[in-house]
Amino acid sequence: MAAGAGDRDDPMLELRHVSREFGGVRAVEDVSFSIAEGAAVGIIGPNGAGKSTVLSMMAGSVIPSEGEILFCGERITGLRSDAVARCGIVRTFQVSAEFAGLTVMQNLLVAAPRQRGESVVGALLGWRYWGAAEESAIERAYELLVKFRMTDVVDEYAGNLSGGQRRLLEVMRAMMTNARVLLLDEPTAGVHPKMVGELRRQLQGLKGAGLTLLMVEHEMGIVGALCDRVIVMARGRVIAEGSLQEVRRNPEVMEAYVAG
Amino acid sequence: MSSSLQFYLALLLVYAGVDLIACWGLNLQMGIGGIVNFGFVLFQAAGAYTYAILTLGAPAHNAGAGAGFQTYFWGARLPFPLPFVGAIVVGGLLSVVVGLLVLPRLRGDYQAIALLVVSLVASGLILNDASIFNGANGLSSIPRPLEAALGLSGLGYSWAYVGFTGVLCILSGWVVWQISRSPLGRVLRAVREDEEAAKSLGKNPRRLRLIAFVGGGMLAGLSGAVLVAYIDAWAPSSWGYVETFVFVTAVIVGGFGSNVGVAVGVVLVPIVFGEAPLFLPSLVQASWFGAVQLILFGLFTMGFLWVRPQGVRPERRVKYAGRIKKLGASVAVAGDGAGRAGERGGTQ
Repeated sequence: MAAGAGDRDDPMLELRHVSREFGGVRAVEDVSFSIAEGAAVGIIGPNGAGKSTVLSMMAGSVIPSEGEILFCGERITGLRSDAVARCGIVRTFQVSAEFAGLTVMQNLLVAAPRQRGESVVGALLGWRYWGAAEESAIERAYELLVKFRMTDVVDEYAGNLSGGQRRLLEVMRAMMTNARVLLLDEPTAGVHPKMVGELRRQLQGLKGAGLTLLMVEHEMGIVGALCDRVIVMARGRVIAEGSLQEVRRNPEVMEAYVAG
Repeated sequence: MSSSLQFYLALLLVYAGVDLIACWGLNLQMGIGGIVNFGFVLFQAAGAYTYAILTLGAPAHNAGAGAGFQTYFWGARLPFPLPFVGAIVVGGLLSVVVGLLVLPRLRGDYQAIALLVVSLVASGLILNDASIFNGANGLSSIPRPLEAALGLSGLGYSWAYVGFTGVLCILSGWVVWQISRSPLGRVLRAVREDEEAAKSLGKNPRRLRLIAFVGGGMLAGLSGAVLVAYIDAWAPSSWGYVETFVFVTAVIVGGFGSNVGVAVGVVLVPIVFGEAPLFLPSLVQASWFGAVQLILFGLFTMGFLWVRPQGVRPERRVKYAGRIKKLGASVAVAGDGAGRAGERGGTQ
């Protein structure tokens, strides 16, 4: 509710009084906030606070029981997750969701939007029909691999990558979709501390390039380094908002963490 | 070569072609699309029955004629190649109906069981209501395509039919190959690997699964027509659920997701090991033939899933390193940081 001054002007993503019940249990209750284009926002809070549910609702994988979600002023509440993704909101998962049996390059190429060869007719028309689009997708994927320093594993099966590499792959894959908002669900979970630094560096680069970021995260180092604003949730509600320093001084937040 | 041996060989080759078309269809569903279809034989049966009633003619009109002893709900006498086209269309339409019923609601084992049950229900229905496809006796005297028009000897026609089957195999192989190597094939595999992740990238798994399912069903329908047009009879006993497991075994043994692997699986499973017990008469009684076959198929499935789950000839890894080298002198630029990724990655 108490969004930062800059966010009010141009909210890219907005939640209005969103609630979600799971079999009588209110996991999320009356949550409202907005995110400006190019902002980086962190959602923190104790376990069971409803952070991941909020992220899943923004991604369309969980439908809100009440309230609405707007993207660039348009209602996206109730859209299926693939439709939300096509709007430009792409998520990563708490447990890495790479396509294990596909190579790194194939993982990236899958994400390329509106490929000509993805229809039955297109596929049957063959390489001559979809080859050019494929080549340009390969080029874009290659640029990402260079940027993320992963050219060495281009033909490696994604299932054989380390935890940190999988995270990077997920972020690269999201970038292949031309995402405008990246929703990260605990991006550092299960990642070797050395790789966390690399992940942070890459996310900072994306933020610098104007991508809107929202992350649910427990690791305060990366939240402090990346996020301009932090939303603190406890028991399904937003209990505080502001910079990491501000919310840290908030006694209600302290209590939630100790009691939660 | 004696003519009886030639007949046997021709029959074996037609079987091989039929199994190949069917297994490519099953591989499109199961290997590439990740839909384990334990009711696959139903779609082959649909094609076979469709071919039969589209060639036998109307049931009322041919009373007393060659095929008049059998009852079926409707029939026509369409010229070649329309009955084959009809079989493909019906295989596809049935897949749409079954696919829309089963695919969106169930996953994994439950999906496989639901599909098995659908095929058992259909089999029970046709077995018990003789007015549909003549019940347990099935349909027979089904005309072979162009048999009179070609005017060949029995053996000559058999070899011509082998050639016809071969052409259909080439066409089917072309279709599955085009799909398999295209972006469509890649997205189907992605859905197979992780449906939620595919959705998060804007892909619609419902549409994609249905494409794989219907494509497989159309090939199953064609395979049924090719089979029944040669053996000229079709009954519920021809399409027991056991037949599905022969196909599943062939796909697993050959290589899940690999079209070439599936061809190897078809040669190994239904042909070599399916026929081998025939040549071991001293070892087993003739009445045991079917049982020995089934035991072999079962052992094969278990053995392969245990020792070599990827099959004889696994899904090929598509490599891009070469193409990428062409793309950039910038490989050197990446080199400074690539060591980190290389520590764990490497190539297998």
